[in-house]
Amino acid sequence: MASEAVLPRAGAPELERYRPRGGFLRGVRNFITRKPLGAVGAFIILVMVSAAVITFLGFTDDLTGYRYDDQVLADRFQGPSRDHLLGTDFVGRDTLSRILYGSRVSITIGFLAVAITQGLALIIGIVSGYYGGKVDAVMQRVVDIGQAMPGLVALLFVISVFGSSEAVLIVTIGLLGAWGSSRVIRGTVITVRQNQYVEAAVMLGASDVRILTRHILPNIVHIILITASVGIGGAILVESTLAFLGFGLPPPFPTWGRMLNNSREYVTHPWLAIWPGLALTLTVFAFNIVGDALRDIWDPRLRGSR
Amino acid sequence: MQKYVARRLLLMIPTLLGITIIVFMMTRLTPQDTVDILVGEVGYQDLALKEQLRKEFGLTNSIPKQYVTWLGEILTGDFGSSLYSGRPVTEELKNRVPVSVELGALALAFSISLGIPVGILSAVYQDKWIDYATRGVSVLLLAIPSFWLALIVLVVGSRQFSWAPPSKYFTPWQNLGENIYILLVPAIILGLGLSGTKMRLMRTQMLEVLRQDYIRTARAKGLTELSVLVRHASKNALIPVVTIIGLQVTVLIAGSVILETIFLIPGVGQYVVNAAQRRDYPIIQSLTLIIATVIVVSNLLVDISYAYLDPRVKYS
Repeated sequence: MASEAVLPRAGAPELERYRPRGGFLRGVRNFITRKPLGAVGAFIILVMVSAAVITFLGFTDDLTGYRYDDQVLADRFQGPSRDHLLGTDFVGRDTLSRILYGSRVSITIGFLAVAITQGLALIIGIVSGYYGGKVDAVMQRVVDIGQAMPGLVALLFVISVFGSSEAVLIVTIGLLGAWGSSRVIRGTVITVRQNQYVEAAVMLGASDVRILTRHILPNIVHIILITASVGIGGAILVESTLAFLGFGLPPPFPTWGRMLNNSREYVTHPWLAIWPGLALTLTVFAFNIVGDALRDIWDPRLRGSR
Repeated sequence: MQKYVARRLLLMIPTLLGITIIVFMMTRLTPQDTVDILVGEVGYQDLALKEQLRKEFGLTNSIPKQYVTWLGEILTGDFGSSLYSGRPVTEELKNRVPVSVELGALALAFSISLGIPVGILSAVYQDKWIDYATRGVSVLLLAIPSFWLALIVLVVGSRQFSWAPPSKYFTPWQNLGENIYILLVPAIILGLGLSGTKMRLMRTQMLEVLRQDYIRTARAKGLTELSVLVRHASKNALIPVVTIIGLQVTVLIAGSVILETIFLIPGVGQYVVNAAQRRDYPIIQSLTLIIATVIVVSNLLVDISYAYLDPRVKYS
């Protein structure tokens, strides 16, 4: 690298690498005391992700004693009891088991869709923000177009054409979210770019790749994580909205949105509507407040804006 | 200012053209085309008929030529016809647009009249219990899905008050009372979701403004606190909130799709869902285009109003 060739290495004082004091546990304790609400959110996320992982590994049946599609018609519409902690649905399936299975769909789609969102947003944001000028002007017009697409309507269209599958949902939800996110990243890149250390690196003849990976990227990681946290909540909400409208993953594998859709026909049995809605709201709520807490810690200037 | 508006209007053209290209591509990239669907509905596979229909619809032309033809039709107000009913899209939408606009306007009015005063109250009583309570509620409002809230309202309504939403829709001209009665509950649910963002933004903006020197000056002049808050502080704090109102049009549209479906309101939102269920591509295609245009125009209005309200904004 050019910059390393210019800097005299021998005899220069060894720069002490910055390390946060204390270990991981200390960081966690610090987070809990400074941001109790954020810690609650992180705990909820941990529970939901664990539920999804357990389901993925196939242990949910052992945990609850029921598969998601075990039907016992004699036991339908039960309220919470020792046998069925959250009761049973209209064909006697265990609600807890179905909610745990549902978490797998929500969590997978939430995380993977946002991975696409942030990946694309990062490319657009960095290229547009770093190079500026004509490149920026053209790319921002493309972003304008992307942002103008009405998300839910576009999704209904895509699903009516290609049918509903995990891949279709992940890719489409991911693509639709990228534009807004890229704007935030672009803005931060422009701010970081104006720092003197970036100017210095340019003067030293550092390549674009080096500047981007060593100077820009480390300074925008926090923005990526903050927008990702809120984005995952949003993606989960979109997925369950689609399922609620009847455009989600096909049965029998349960999703929270479809459970809520089914509950519409049984208003006299409120548990059917309460549990999946509570799981969904808590999850979205958790991702939102964790995003808030991260922003308060990393970017105090933006506190409470949104 | 006029120059700025003209420039923004010019910039709108490539955006709108880009949207038409995407919407056009969406239907041309589908595995089956319009003819497949039409013939499939009838239930036989007559290749000669299909070929003849494709020629008639101009589907044998090159893609760019098809696009230009289609764009010409759109510009003259011909959005095609529904595959399901055979009626022109504009005809089908004529009665539905006012319903959705009324629902949206009611929801927006509710969210503004709730979000802004609560936000101000929260800022004035910063770090008091009232502030904590409203902040908690606003975060909750952001997380509760409107369709779940609607379900809970239906469940509680039917169990506790034996209330069910009316199933027959009246236009305001037929029966204004009935019309409001039908739209009020979904509008409040939709508005609650929108108000969370406004509460939070209004609170932070007020806190920001209340720290300014001119507020101290206003208080030093001996103005009453109410006058300081209303005439000096909230006016400036409102500027970014106006922006948010414009940007929430997207949320509003998605929300009306959901609530119109649940409460059986014959608006555009319900129609989108029906069209998607029937795979009525021309309908969804033109609705995507129309709604995207609405979003672009409302974003433009936001920018213009922002520049108008805040003279510090440079028109560049």
